[in-house]
Amino acid sequence: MIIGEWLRRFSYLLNRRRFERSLQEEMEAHREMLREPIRFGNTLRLREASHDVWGWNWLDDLCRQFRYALRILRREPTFTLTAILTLALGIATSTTAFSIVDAELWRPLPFSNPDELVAIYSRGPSARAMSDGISGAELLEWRAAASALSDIAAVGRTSRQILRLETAQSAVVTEVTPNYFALLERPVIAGSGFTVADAGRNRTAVLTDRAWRRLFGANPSVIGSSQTVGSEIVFISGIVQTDDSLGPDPDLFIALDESASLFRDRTKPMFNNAIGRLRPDAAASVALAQLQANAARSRPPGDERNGHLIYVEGLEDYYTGSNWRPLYFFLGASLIVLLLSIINVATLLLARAFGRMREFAVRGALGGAQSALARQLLVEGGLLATCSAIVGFFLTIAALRSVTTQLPTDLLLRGRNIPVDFRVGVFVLGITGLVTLGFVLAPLIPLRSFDLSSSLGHGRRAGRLPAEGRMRGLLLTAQIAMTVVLLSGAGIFLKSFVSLTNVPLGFDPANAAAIRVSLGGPKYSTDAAVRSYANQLSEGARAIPGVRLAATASSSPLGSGPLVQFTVAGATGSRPADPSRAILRAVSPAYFEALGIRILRGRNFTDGDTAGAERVAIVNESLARTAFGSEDPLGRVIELAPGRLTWTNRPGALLIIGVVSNVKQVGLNEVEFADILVPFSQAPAPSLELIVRAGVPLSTLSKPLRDYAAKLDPGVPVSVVTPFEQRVSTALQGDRFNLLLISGFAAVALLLATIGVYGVVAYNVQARTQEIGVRLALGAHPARLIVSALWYAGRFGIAGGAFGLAGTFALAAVLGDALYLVPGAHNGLLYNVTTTDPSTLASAFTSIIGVALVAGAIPAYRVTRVDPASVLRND
Amino acid sequence: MRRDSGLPPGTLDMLVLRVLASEPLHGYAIAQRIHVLSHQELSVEEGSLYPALQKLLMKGWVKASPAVSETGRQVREYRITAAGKKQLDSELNEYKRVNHAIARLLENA
Repeated sequence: MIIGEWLRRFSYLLNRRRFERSLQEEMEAHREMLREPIRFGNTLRLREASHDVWGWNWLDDLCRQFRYALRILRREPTFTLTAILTLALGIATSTTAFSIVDAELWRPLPFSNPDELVAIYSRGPSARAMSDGISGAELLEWRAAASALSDIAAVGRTSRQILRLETAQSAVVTEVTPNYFALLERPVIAGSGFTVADAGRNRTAVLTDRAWRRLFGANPSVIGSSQTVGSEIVFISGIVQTDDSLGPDPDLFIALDESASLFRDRTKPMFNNAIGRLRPDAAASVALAQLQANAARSRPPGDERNGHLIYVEGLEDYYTGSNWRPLYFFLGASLIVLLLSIINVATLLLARAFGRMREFAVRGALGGAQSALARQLLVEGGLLATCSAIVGFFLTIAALRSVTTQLPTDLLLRGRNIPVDFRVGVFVLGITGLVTLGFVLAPLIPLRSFDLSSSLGHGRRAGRLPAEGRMRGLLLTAQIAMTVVLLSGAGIFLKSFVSLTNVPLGFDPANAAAIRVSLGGPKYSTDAAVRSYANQLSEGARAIPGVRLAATASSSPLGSGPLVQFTVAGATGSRPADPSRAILRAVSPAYFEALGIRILRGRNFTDGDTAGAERVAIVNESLARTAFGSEDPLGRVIELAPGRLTWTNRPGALLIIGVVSNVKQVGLNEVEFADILVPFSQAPAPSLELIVRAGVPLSTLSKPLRDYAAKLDPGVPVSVVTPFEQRVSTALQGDRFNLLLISGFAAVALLLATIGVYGVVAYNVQARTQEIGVRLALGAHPARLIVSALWYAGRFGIAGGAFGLAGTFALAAVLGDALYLVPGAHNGLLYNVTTTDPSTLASAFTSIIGVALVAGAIPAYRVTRVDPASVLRND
Repeated sequence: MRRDSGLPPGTLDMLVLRVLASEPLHGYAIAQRIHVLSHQELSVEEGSLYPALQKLLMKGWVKASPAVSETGRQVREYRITAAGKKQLDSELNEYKRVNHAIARLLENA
């Protein structure tokens, strides 16, 4: 019934013209038929009365108010644009930041029942302890022991392998247990997971759809085919959807053979952690107790892991536990920008509201109802908020698109697919909308007490309203305070960045470059083959004109390397034989000179340090200090533990023959690593770098070097030539981004504060025109009046600045050391500066006062343009 | 401006529906019919007739279809719907009930 009525109302609305025409026609007919047509009422009025029945009057009113609001806003383009852009900026920044943080930290993992997924690992009790390796045998035991878990899977080694297609392609390969996809319930797009039986003796592999497109051009016939990966042939059983939420997906997953003897070997650690799925009714604590009990039972008395604990934690927490700091930091900064933009728009609306007081006084006097005026203002506010929302929405999309391509990779661990978070968008829009609507009504508040005669009577502006002055003053002070917080932040980040660019690298990146080659397949299965290739490569490179030095290394500075455990042989009681970890690197003798790394003590490797000779090592300062203290490390012996790669798995004693300076290994902002360098000949790494130092521009060497490598063995994939200066700049990318971001926020804040001060001072001078005129007439010196107006501006700077400093200190206290580098990590947000750096805070404080004075100077100078005669005449 | 129609308030809808229940009519004819059938006692002014017709249309009690008047004008002819008939019945019942009660009160008081 009701629905039918509304349908008819809508059809009336849509066919209104036609309907009214036929009504008109009908009334004309009626009139003609009357004996006294003159007695027929006014047809226009009649038609209006008929139209009223349909109940669309409010819509007509709204349209009228909308048109009026549009006209008003168009009349003040500067105000309108400023307000819309300011609000849009606030909406876009906070929505973007929230979307990123949500995608990275809050969004549940994209697997079914993600709450059931847990990470399981074992590690020592100390905070710096790294997790123990887990052997396949242990994993099988865990499966049997933990009945609270329906299944346990694990991700093994990830390596770069050569995929032999028409050309050799480099592919990232990860070994996983065969139940991996089933446990996560990851969807298989085509083919099947690891469940095929017809793989014969070959292992099965599953492609990610990203790799399927990149390597096979999305050719479906690859499913069921056999491919050569590294030195083995695998059977491709299917394609899964790429999913980077647990770290970037590899190109290829290969199923581990759980019955292989290597897998069953207790002494061979294969995994860092395991992934379990809890039974629907089970708690993680039960699983933990079961695993704990098993560990106590099964680890033999002499096991080095006795006293180590098993940990079971939510998979999501495990994978996102490390990078919340920068994200929350950006979120906080973006919220300040949102607050600032709201305050600024509120100030704008207030200023405008009091300017329109006269209009509203007149409309009120002419009988405009309060409610009608309020409705008119609300339509204006709604229009502003809607426009801002639209602009903000597009800004958000653009920002997310650029952020996901620009943001440093270590900040986005869960993939780059970040959708716009509409819940947050709506929430932010709600807040900004409410504030806009609230402040847009400002002209109505004092209207009752507004003295109409003083507004209309003299034909000049009303005197200063204390309520307005107070409100704007408060808002401006708050705005300046927040600006100071952001300015301090930007200053601290700038200082940190400058320190970082001056940080000693420990090597000379100028004129040096690296090329990575990956040797694989049966041809390079022996040390001798790798060694001979490496020798030919470096010798051939040295023969290229322009190359001064060429060396080979398993990795190089800012390129990290595999971690190995070692103990100091013959350690005395004061230094127990604790296993420590160090980055292991195999280098040829020319490595140190090519990279300008200083040998502090002892000797370099020589050509005599070959496979058969005594095994030797060079350590870095950091290792020498931590392992030997003040003792001389030269001539001492360190004992290497087994590693996980063929070239690092060479346990045994190494004689220390030299000490070199520390180099930056992962990033510029890092706690120093312990390094062990061994002769390349004694540990030939099949994935190696050719490092060259050039006497000519590096760009001219790129082609000859690559050509030479291709000639040496066309089957070996060769990377592009990477100058070390590029590595340094990449290492700074994250810090540069942080600096840019917070500086951008601070710049926006500063601009808004400048506009704010200007507006308030200009208003103050204008409101005091009369007073100034009288003073000038009485002989006051203009300079004194300028100074008093400037003082008015400066006061805001001082008060806001003081509040801002207090806020910065409070914030620093809340943050604690969250922004600093913690021991055992790298990529802290700040380097060599504290969050309460006195000189930075002092300069933020003085610069805000300076900005307040400069912003106030132009309106203050207007004091001198007041013409006393005209002011007095007007009275 | 407003002339007294002699109609008790709220009864116009009922009268229009009742007249249309006999046959479809256009606006002028409705007014005429009410006037004639009430022996010139009641007269419906265009000022209340047309808004009332809009309301009936909106409620879905009558339908309009194009027609030609006696003077050759394009007019709309109103026709009662099933829903309109139901409404008429309930209004008639209500009217009779109230009328009856009033009459009894006037006689017995």
